[in-house]
Parts: sequence; structure tokens; C-alpha cells
Amino acid sequence: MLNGILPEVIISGAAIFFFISALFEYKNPYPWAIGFGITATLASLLSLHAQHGFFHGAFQVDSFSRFFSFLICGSFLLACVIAGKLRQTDQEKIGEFFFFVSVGTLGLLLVTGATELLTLFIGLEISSYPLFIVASYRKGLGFQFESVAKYMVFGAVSMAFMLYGITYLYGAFGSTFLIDIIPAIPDHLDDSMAVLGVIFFMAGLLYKLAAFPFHFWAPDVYAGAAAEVVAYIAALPKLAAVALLVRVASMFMGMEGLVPVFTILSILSMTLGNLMALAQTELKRLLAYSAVSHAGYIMLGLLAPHDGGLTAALFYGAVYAVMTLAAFLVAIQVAGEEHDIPLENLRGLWQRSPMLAIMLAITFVSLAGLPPTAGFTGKLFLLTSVWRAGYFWPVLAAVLNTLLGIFYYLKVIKISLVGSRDDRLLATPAHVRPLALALGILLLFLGLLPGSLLDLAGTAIESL
Amino acid sequence: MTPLATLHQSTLSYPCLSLIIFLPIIGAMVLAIIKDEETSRWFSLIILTLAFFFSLPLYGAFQPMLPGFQFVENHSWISSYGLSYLLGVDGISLPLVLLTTFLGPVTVLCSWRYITHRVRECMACLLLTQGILTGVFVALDLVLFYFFWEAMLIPMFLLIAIWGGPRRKYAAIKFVLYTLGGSIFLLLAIVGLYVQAGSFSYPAMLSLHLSSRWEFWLFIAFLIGFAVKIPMVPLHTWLPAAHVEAPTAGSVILASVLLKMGTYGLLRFNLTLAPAASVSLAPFLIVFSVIAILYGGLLSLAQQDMKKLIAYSSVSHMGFVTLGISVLNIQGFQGAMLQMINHGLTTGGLFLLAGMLYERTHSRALQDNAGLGRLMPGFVFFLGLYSLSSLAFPGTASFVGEFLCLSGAFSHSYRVGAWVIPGALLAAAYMFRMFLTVTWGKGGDPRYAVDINIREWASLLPPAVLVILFGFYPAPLLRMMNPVLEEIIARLPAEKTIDIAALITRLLHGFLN
Repeated sequence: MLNGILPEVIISGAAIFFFISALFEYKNPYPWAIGFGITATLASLLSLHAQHGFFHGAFQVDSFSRFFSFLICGSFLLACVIAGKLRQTDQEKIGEFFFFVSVGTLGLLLVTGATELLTLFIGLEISSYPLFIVASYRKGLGFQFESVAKYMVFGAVSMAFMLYGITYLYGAFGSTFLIDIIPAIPDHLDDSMAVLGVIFFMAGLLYKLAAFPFHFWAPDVYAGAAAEVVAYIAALPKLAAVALLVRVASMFMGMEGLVPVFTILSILSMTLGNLMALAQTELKRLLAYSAVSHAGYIMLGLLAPHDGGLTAALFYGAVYAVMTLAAFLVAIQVAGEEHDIPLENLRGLWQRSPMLAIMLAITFVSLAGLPPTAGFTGKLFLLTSVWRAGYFWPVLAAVLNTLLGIFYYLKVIKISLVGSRDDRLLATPAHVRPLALALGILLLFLGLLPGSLLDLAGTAIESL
Repeated sequence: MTPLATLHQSTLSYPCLSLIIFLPIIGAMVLAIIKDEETSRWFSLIILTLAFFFSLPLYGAFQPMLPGFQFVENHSWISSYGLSYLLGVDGISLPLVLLTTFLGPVTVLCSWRYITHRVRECMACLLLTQGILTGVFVALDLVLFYFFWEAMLIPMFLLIAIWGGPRRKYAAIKFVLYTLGGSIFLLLAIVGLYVQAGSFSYPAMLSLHLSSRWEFWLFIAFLIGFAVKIPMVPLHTWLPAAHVEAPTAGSVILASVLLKMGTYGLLRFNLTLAPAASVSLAPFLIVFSVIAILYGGLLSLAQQDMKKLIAYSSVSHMGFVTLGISVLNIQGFQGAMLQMINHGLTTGGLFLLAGMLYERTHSRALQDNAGLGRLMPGFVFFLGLYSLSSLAFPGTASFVGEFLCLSGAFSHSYRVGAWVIPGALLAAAYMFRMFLTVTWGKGGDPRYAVDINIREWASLLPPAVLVILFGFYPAPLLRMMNPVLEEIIARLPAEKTIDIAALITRLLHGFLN
């Protein structure tokens, strides 16, 4: 029973540890963070097939939640490793930084396992508030407060929408437990209260996912907060949002009017994200808009719940987390003293650090969705599922968006590989090069042999 | 099941096709640890020569009379989506595979001194493109095919963007965007076929019976993807830019192999998977081919830049290939296939020569190179040979191909044949113009006229030998491809069955719903 929630236990242990160590102004929490990350990842690997219910079924340990706890703990570890010495963070707050990040991760773990709407909501809140705080931990400047304000206001509003949606759902179904709601869905297919509830409920998810129309915070937060914080914000909450989309939202997809709403939102999300990214000259903003467009792709999976779309969405979500973290690994290394990370900072990366340059190229090819990388394979799974479910137009939109996306992804590749700059070598910490190599290989591996992750995602979906 | 879909196990004891794909790709990775520039050149040359020699047993062991695919390698890849690692060659793809591996060492030789900076990276890109291009021609699983098709973009982009001429970045991006713009439709077609067939395996799809509406849109989607690569006329504008700006090796790869991916796809996928649509849409293809032949020829006649001249001549020559395919008879098909090979050898050779002149004079303008040929006998020998072959002079390889294309066109209809004849004349005009200017014109600086050296001989001679050989004796090629081509023709319905106007009007009422 305990080994099922071992990852949660370890992460809460980490939170407590960092809380105490911060009180005593312990100077070097970084190795501890990595240690906790590794143990949590290993623990979640061990508990991959555990099955148990907690708190009267409000929190479910099943293959699905363990799949995500594996991804989240793995991403937590990666985010901690690539954060390195937290160069952009106020050095006095490093202890708290790890405390809040651990608490946030705990919240995300709670979300992925929650099968009761209020538990789920609390999980989301637990995961959000620490992030509002760490987003402001940037050294010097002071621009970050604007972005934190946006992050918080948008967060609060969309969470309020979500809570409102939950009350509607409770009104319609008379329960907040998914186990009671799901069997009753066929009776409420055109119940306008339930439909409205689902739509409001989506608000919180779309916010976490940075999908249209709740994406406005993303570019500012990405640009304003310290790069190492953004790496975390960009990867981990997205995973939890995908989990919620698949576990909760997909159950309601049969309802009247939800499919068109979702199709339109996902198409708008992809298109607007890509269009806005075209004009960006700053790496983090570019990645923010790229996140918006990727949110659109992931949402496509929901259109085909019975044709493998959910598995594909899970796969794509996992791949997206890896791609984002890989991109931020480079972003953190090339970040200068200034507020932004202009794309110009990447110029001549090839001469300054070949390994990072190759990894960046692989990552961006993957983000663009070209073979032989994981991004393409994930997209292929999504598109085949969606078309198999009978939707042609979203497939066409996604494919055309690939073309839009290539403009700016190619721009980054061009600057880093083709451009040259007479500059000293990039002084990267020792762990960066092997890590870059590993991430590059991982993206190629998932592109060429996605079988293992796909099977894992498949079992996760089956356990729902 | 059609004979085309039969899979014959390999008679060779080792996985030959995988070997010639992955030998260069692994070689490219090994280059990461070779620090020395000279070593990296020799290393790549050896790897690509080895790949060529490893591909020769394919020719030896190939049994022309067996329909279907030979040397098949079939492994399950992603079972839940019906993906397999399925490789095999038949009479259409084998000549192209051999062409690719044959030109591999040539591309390294011509970059030997041309590339002066970031040599290792350049060699790695060359090796990668070689491996990937081979993969395109042997992949029988559509996703695998698409993998190779798209994976080629990045090394090719880098080749043009890093080692190209002054406007290289523009050319490289244009190349990628055009190709990608086409290949997203390819992806749509592939996913659509999967939805219909439940598998990505090409042989399995051959037994599919699609409704005429599906066939029509499938044909269009495939066509857009391939037309960009060929390139067919309205979509050809990336080609001059890319050809002109690419380094010699890039131009050779582009002209000799990359363009063939398009026509190969047309023959392989369009005609066999959408036969009814092919018959109905062939007239449009013929019109575009004739336009390509004439327009490409006229453009070529007006060029002052040698590489541009050759690039536009490629448009015209590829027009002959698409013409041969779209007249839908056996002479046309044979002509198209031969023309693909010959164009690969001839235009590759011409680009090598243009590159050599550029290395000497640092100019591609005809004006600056005028009269230099007179002082370089070895150079002029090859220039003469390749120019003659390019204008389809009897006795050179292109003559046979172009003649067969023309005879296919005439047996299709006299009117089409008559339209194409001026194209053949134009070829003579622009090729002789270039040849005469470079050899006897006035304006070049004679100090630059240094005759070609042994390395350059080594890169020019092998294609030249084949040009003459296939000019007199194309039988080995024809024997290889005939059974498959006949099978493809046998699959085509006798008359048009698709009402195109009705399908297009239906678009207004709803699409594939």
C-alpha cells in the first residue's frame, strides 16, 4: 500500500527537508534536490503498476497516476539538474526555492491521482501558489513582478472559473466523485448545466496548459521569471494538465457541443501560438508561444478517445516535457545578465559548444515535428488517431501548422548552427554536456523506437 | 494480391539494404570523434566507396523477372500502429539506389578542396544525406519512407546554409519551406491511407480498393508533395536558388538524386495507389510537363550564370520524366526511368564541372569563364561529353531516355509529341551556348585556366563511362525495370472513370465527411 505513494512521500519529505534547511540557512541544497529527485523517480518506477485507493477513493493510485508520477518526478529531477546553480535567482532565496518547487510538485502529484473534483482542485491550488512565489525570485531588475501579477491574476480567475464549473457539475451529477459521475454521463449528454460545468472546468486546465484563450500569462511569465523557474513552469504543470484532460475532460467528450468547442479551441491554440511565435526574437517568449501551439496539438487527442487519441496525447505530453526541458537546458546556459534571452545569444553556438548546438537542433526539429525525432512520432500518433475517429479538418489544421511552425524553429536552428560569432567558448558546468547528449539521444530514441513509452501510456489509459 | 506486392526474402546472407543505409549514417557519427580534416575526408570517401561496393551485390543478385520486392527486410517496429521496418527494392528503385550509392564517393571528391571550413561537419552532412537518400528509395513502409523523406531536409539545409554561396541562407530556407510545404500533404496522404488501410505497409495498400473520391484527393496530395521535389513548373522556384547557392556536392546531390525522389514517388505511389485517378488526371500532368520542358528550356537559354543554366535545364529534363510518366504507356515509363538515371549522371557531371570552374575563377558567370575551356583540354573533354549527353545526342545515355519519352508521347498523341519537339531543340541551343562560350568565348582570365587534376578526373570519369555505356547499351537497366513497369500499366484502368468536375463541386458540399 505504501509503495504506491512512495513518490508522494519522498517529495513531501523533500519539502519538509528544504523547509527546515531554509530555516537554518543551509547553503547548498542543490545536491539534496537532485538526491530527492533521483529517489522519487526510482520510487515511481517501482510503483509503476501499483493499484490502490486512498481517502475513500478521492486519490487513486493506478497505472495512470503512476505513469504521470513517473513523468513528473523525472521532470522534477531534470528541472533541478538543468537549473544548476540557479544563476538568475536571488541567491538568498535558494533554500526556499527548492521548498516551493517541491511543494508544487507534490500538488501536481496530487492532481494526477485525484479522482474527486475538490481534491483535484486543491491539488491544482497547491501546485499553483508556490509557483507564483518562485516566479518572483529573480535576481535584480524587478520586471518579474509584472509577470507574477499576470500569472497570479490569470491563475486566480481561471481557478475561480474551474471551481464554479465544479459546483455546476456537482449540481448536475450530485457528486464530486468521478466514480459516481462517469456512469451518469450518458444521462446528461444534453444537460446544459453539466455542459456548462465542463466548459468552466476546462478553464483551469487550459490555464495550466497555456492553451488559448488562457494563454496570455505565458509569454510574460516565461520572459519575466528566472530561466530555471520557467523551465519548471513550462514542463511540469503541463504534465498535470494533460493528466486532467485525459482523466477527467475526456470522459465528457460525448456531451452535446463539447467536440466543436474543443476542436475550435485546439485549432485556435495551435494557429495563434504559431503565428505569434513567428515574430518573436526572444528565446523564452518564442518557447512560450510554441507552448501555446503545442497545447493545441495535445488537445487534439481528446477528439479521439476511442481511437488511441488519449494514448497519443499522453505520449505527446511526455515528449513535450522532455523537449521543453531540453530547450531550457540551452536557454539557461546562454542566458546573459540582461532581462531577456535574445535569439542572438544563440549565434555561433556551434563553435561555442557543439554538443549543446546539436542537442538544440534535435530539440527544435522535434518541436517542429519533423522526423526522425519524438515530436514527429507523437504528432503522427495524434493525427492518425484523430483522423481515424473521423475528424479531417483538425488534422489538416495541425498539418498546416507544422508548416507555420517550421519558420521559427528553423530560425533558431539557423542562428545556432549556421551563424558564426567570434566568441570564447561557452563556459558550461560539467554536467551539462553529458546531460545534453542524453536528452538529444532520448528525443531521437523516442522518435525511432517509441514502443516502450507508448506501451506504458497504453497501460495507463487502460487503467482508467 | 497483385504481383507487385509480393515480397521475396533476400538471397543475400546479410541485410544489404540496411547496411547501405546505416553505414554512412554511422560513419557520420564516427566523424564526431575524428578531429583531423584530412582524415575526415579520407574516412568519408572510404565509407561511401564501401557503401557503393556493398550495394553492388544487389545488382548481381537481383532477379529481374520476379515481380514484387526483393531483398526484403521486415521487422515489426511499432506494432500498435501497424508500423514495420520494411525495406525492399524492385526494378524501379534498384537503379535509383545504385545511382545514389554510385554518386556518393563523387560528392566527397568534389568537396575535397572546395570545402575549406568546417570540413568535418560538411563530410558528416554528406554521409547523412547519402544514407537517408538511400533509405527513401528502399523504404516500403510509408512512415519509414516519410521519415527518410523529411530527415533529408536538415542535413541538406545545413549543406546549403553553411557551405553555400552568397545568398545561401535565403536559398536554404526557401528549399526547406518549399519541400516541407509539399511534404505536409504527403503526410496527409499517408495518414489518410492509414485510415483506409489500417496499416502503413505499401505492399498491403496495393490491395486496397479506394472510392474514386479518395483516390482523387490522394492523388492530389501525393502529387503536391512530389511535384515540389521534381520540381514541376509552378512549384519550381526553389530549385534555381538552391542549386545556385549550394556547394558543388550539394548541387550534385540535389540534381542527381533528390529530384528523383519526386518522380520515383509519382511512379511508385501515385500510379499504383490511385490508378483510376492517375488515368483521369494524366492530361493535366502532361500539360504541366510540356510547360516545364519549354519554359525550363527558355529560361535556361537566357541565363548568364552557369549553375542557374544547368538548374533550369534540370527543370526541363525533369519535364521529360514527368511527361514519360504521364503518357501512361510502356515506352514513356521506360523513357522516364532511363531519363531519371541519365539526368542524374549527366547533370551531376555538369554541376561538378561548374564547381571546378568556380574553384578556379570564383565566379559562376559565363562571361568570367569564357574561353577558359580552350586551355584546359581534360576539362573540355568532359564538358563536351556531358553537354552532348544533356542535349540528348545519339550515343549518349540521355538520347535513349529522351527518345523513349518522345516516342511514348507520340504514341499517346501526335499533338503532345509535336509540342515537345521544340524542347529538344532548346536543349541543344542552351547547352551549345554554354559549351561554346566556355570553350571559345572571350573574356575569361587565362591565368585561371589550370587543367583538372587526378582527383577531379576520378570524380568525373565514372559517371562519364556510364553515360557512354548506357548510351549504347541500356539493356541492363531496361531488363531490370520492365516487369515492374508492365505491372504498373496493367493496374491502370483503360479509360477515365473519375468525374473530376463532380468531385470538385462536391468540395463545396462537404469534404471527406
